[in-house]
Amino acid sequence: MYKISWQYIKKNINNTFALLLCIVVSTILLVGVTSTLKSMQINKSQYYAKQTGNYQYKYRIENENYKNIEKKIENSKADVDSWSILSRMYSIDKPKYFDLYLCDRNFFKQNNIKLLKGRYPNKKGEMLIEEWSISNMSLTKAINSSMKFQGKKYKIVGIVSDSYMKTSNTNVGYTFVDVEEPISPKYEVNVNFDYQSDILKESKTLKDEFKVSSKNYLVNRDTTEALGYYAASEDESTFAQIVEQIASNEKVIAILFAVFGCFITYSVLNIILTQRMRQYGILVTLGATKYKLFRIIFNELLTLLIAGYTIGAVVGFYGSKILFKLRPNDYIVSQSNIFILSKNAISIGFAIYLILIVVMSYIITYKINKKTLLNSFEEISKHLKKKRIILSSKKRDLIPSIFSRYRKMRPVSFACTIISLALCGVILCGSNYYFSTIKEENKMRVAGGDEGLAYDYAFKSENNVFDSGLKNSDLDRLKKVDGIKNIYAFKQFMGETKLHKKQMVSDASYKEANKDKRLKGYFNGILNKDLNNNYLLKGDINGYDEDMLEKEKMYLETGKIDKAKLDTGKYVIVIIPVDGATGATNTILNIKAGDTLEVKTPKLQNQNELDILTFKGDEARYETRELTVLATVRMGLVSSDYWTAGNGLDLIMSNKEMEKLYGISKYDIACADKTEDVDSAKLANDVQEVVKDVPRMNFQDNRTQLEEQNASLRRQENLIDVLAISVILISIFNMLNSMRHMFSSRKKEIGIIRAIGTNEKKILRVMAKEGAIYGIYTNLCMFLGIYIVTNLMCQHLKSVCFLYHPVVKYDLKAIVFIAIINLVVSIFTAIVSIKKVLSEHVVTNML
Amino acid sequence: MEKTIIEVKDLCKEYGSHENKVEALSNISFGIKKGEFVAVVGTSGSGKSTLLNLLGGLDVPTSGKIKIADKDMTALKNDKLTRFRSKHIGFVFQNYSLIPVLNVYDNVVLGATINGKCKIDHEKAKSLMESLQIWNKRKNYPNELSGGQQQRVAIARALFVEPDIILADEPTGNLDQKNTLEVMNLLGECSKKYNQTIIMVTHENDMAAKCDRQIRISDGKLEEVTANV
Repeated sequence: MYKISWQYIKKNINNTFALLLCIVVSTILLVGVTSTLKSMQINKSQYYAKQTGNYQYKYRIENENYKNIEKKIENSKADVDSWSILSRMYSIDKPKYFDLYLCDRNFFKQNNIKLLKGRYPNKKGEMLIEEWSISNMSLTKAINSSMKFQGKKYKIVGIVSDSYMKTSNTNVGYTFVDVEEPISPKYEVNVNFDYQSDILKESKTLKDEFKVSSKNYLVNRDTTEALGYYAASEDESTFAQIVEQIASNEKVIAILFAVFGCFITYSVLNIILTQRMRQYGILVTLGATKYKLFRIIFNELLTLLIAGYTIGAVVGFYGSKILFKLRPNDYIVSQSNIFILSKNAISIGFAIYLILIVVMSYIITYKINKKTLLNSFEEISKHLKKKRIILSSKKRDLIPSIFSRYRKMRPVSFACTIISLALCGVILCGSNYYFSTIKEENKMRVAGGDEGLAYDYAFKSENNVFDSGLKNSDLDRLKKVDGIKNIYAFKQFMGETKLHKKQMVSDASYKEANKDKRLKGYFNGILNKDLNNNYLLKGDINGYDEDMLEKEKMYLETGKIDKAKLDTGKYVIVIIPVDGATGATNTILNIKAGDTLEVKTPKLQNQNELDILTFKGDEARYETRELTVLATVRMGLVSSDYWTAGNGLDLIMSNKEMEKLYGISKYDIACADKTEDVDSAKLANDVQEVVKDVPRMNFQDNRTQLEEQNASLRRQENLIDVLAISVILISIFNMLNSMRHMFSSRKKEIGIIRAIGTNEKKILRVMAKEGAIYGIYTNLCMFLGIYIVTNLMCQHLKSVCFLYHPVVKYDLKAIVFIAIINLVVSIFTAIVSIKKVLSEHVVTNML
Repeated sequence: MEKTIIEVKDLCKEYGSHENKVEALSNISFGIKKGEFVAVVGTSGSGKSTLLNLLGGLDVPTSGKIKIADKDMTALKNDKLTRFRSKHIGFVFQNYSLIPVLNVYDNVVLGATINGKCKIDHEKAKSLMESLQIWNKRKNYPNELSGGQQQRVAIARALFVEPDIILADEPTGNLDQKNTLEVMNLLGECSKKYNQTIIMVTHENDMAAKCDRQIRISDGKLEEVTANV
C-alpha cells in the first residue's frame, strides 16, 4: 500500500513540493514564534525571580518535618523542577533589623546564593551572613564573630552573596536544616514547576498533596505572570485575566498558527486531491477497498507531514534561536539568554495537522465511494444548476464569467485564500492601534513627570509607612551634589474621598479597577459605597513643594492654585483622571473648584496596622476632614507605584499642609534633574551615596525607565511586525499555490478558450480583474477583521489595562496602504499563476 | 470551379532535438478547395492530428508554408494568428472540449463573445441549435448530455461563428454508430449548406469514404490523395 503512496510523492513532484512547502513554512512560523515567546517568558520570569525570589508557588506547611516534605515532593505527581525550604528562626531589631533563616541546601542552589568566603555551617550554632549585611551591620570582621538571637549565640562561619536579599535591602543570615532544628515546625516550601508544564495545574496538584489551605498557598505573581499565568491563584479569575492568559499562552498561539497553516495547506491539498479523483476512482475500480484507499491517501499525506514538520521545526527552532542570540535585547529584558523549544506548541501543531490530513483523507475516500466519477463532476456544477442562467443573454463576453465560476466552485479554498491574506492587515492594524494607545498612555502616565518636571532621577520610598523617607537635611545634601540642578520633594499619603452621586459621572472604569488583584487585596477595591449610597473613592494624597505647585498651573482646569491658601489646611487640589490614550476631558468625575470633599485618612499612629488601607473596621483608626477644592488639574507631576498608582482620586496639597494636617514631615519621593554637562553615570553614583543610609529608599532613573518601557513595546511591536510580514509572505505563497493549482487543473479548458481565438493579452486582462476581485474580497474581509479586532483591543485596554476612555481609532492611511498592497498582491499573483499555463503551447494545454 | 482555400507546401514538423528528434510530418504538400469535405486518414501516430493542429494554427511548423485564404499562416505572429483563427477556423474535437461551467447555449455562442464587442445573434443561435436538435437542452450543462449531444454542441459552437474552415479531430471517435452517422451527416450538410470547408481526421475508412476526398498519411508522409466517387 505504501508503495502506491510513495509513487504519488515521487511522480507528482510539483504537488509534493507545494504541499511540503506549505507545511514547512507554516511550521517554521509556528515553532519560531512559540519558542521565541516561551523563551521570552522564561527569561522574563528569571529576571523577576532575581528580584522577587526564585519560586512560582510557596506552600506554608506546619507540623511537618523536613524529611517528610522531601519525600512528598519526590513522590509527587506534580512536575516539580526545583524546590527548597525556608523557615524564619529569629528576627532582631538591634543594631538593625536582621533575620536568621533556616533553609536547605536546595535553597542556595535555587536562588544562586554563592559562598564568597569561609565555609558552610556543619554543626549547631553556626551561620552564614549575606555580604550586604556586613557593611550595613558594621561588622568589620564578620567571620568567626558571633551574633546573639534571644540569648542564643551563633558563630558566623561564612559570607554569602544573595542578590535577592541585596535588592530588597534586608539583613539576613542562614543556617541549614541538616545541622539545626527549626524553632517551630513551620516551613515555607518554594517551588518552581517545569516551564513546559501547566504550572497552574501542577501547583494545585501539589497543594492537594500537601493539604494546605488557600491561605497558605501563595503565588509569586511576578514570576508566574511573566510565564503567562495571569489568574495564578484560585480566587482570581476575572474575565480580563483569563483573556490575558489566553493571549499570552504559547499553546493558544500554537493552535492559531496551526489552524492558519491548515488553512493554507488545505487550499492546496483540496485542489491536488480533487485533481486526482479520477485516478483514485480507477484504483477503486481495480478493487481498492475504502480502507485501502484511505491508507493510500493518508500514508502520502503523513509522509509529507512528518518530513515537512520535521524540516519546519528544525529550521524554525534554530532560525529563531540564531535571531534570539544575535539580538537578545530585541526580545528579552534579562541577559539570561535561555532559548527553549516549546514542546507543547510542537505537539499541538502536529496534532492539528494530523487531524487535517485524517479529515482530508476521509473526505476524499468518502467522495470516491459514495459517488461515481460522473457524479463527482456533477457536484462541481451543483450550484450552477440551481440557477441555469443563460449568461450570453446578459453578457457580451463570457470569458470573465468562466473564471469567476471556477472561483465560485471552490468557496472554501477562496475563503482560505482571502482570509489568510487579510490576516496580515488585521494583525498590523490591530497591533498598531494597541501599541500606539499604550505608548500614548505611557507618555502621559510614566512620563507625566517628564513633561511637568523634566526630572531625570527619583528617590522613592518603598514602604507602607507614611512618614518615612528623606528629611529636610537629606534634601539639603542632595541639592549640594555637583550636577544637580533642581530637587522637587514630595510627600505621599492615602485617603478615601466621599463623593455624591452627582459627582460621579461614570463609575465603569473604577468598577473594572476594583477587579485588579492588588487593589482588591490591599485596599479592598478602589471604589465602594457607604450606607447612603455615596461613593467612597480611594486615592493618593500628594504633598508638593512650591516649585511643583507652580508647574501644576500648566494643567489647571478650574479654580486657581494659591499656595498660601493651601497652607491653611482647608483646601485641596484634585487631579482629574485623564487618559493618555485619548487626552479626554473629565467625563468621569464632576468635581470643580469650590466643591467640598470629605476626605478620610488613617491616623498616623495606626499606620503599621496591616489592614489600615482598606478603610474598613473601627472608625477610631481614621480621621475625616472636610476640604474645599481649590482647583482641579489634568495631570499629576509624579506618581508612586506603591499606592493606588493613579487609579483612584488623587489629591494635591502643599508639603506644609500635609505636615500640618497629618503630621507627615518626611518626603517619600524626591525628584532631581541634572545639568546638561554632567556625566549621568557619575551623578547617579553621587546622589545614591547621599541617600544610602535612608532605609528602603530606592533610586530610580526615570528616563531610562521610560526608554525601557518604550523599548519593550518596540520589541513586542517588532515581533508582531515580523509575524505580520511572515503571514503576508505565506499568504502570497498560499494564493500563488491555490491559483496555480486551480489553473493547472483547468489547463485544458484554458487551452480550448485559446484554441477558439482568445489571445493571451485578453486572458491576462481577465485574470487581472479576477485578481482584483480577490483583492477586493480580501480587503472587505480585512476591514471586518480590523473592526472586530480594534473593538476587542479597545475592550482589552479598558478592562485589563484600566484606561478610562479608550476609543476605537482607525489609522486610515495605514488601512488604505495595506488595502492597495492587497490589491496589487492579488493581481500580481493571479497574473503570475496564469502565466505558467499560458507559457505552454495551446496543444499542450489541451492534452 | 471553387478556388483553393488551403494550400500546404513542403510542410515539415519535428519534435525534440538531436538524437531525440522525431519527424512527425515530412514534406507534405496539398491543396483544398472551398466547400470541400476532406478526410485525413492514417494509422495511429501517422501525423494526422499534427497536421490538423498545424492547419488550425495551434502549432507552428518546423518548415514549409500553409496558406489559408491567401494568407500565409506561418508568417503570422501569435496575436494575429489567434485573431485569424477566431475569424476563419472552427474546431471540433474528439473529446468535445466543452467548457463544463457554461451551459449548452453559452458554449455554442462562446466563440462569438471572444472579442466582447459583437452583439450575439440569438435568433441565429436558436435556429442553429434547433437544426442540431439541442435547443431543448440549451440550459443543461455538458455533463448532463450524452456523447452525441455533446458533440452536436461542439459542432454548433464551431458553426456559429461561420468560419471558412472547420477542423474536426476524430469527431466520431467517442460515439456509437447511430451518433456517428448523425454527426457525419451533419458535417456533410453543413459543408454543403454553408459552403464550408471541412477537414476531418479519422482512422475509420467508412467515415473517410463519406467525404469528398481522402488525404492518406503514413509515417508523416503524404501517401496519396484520392477523390471519393
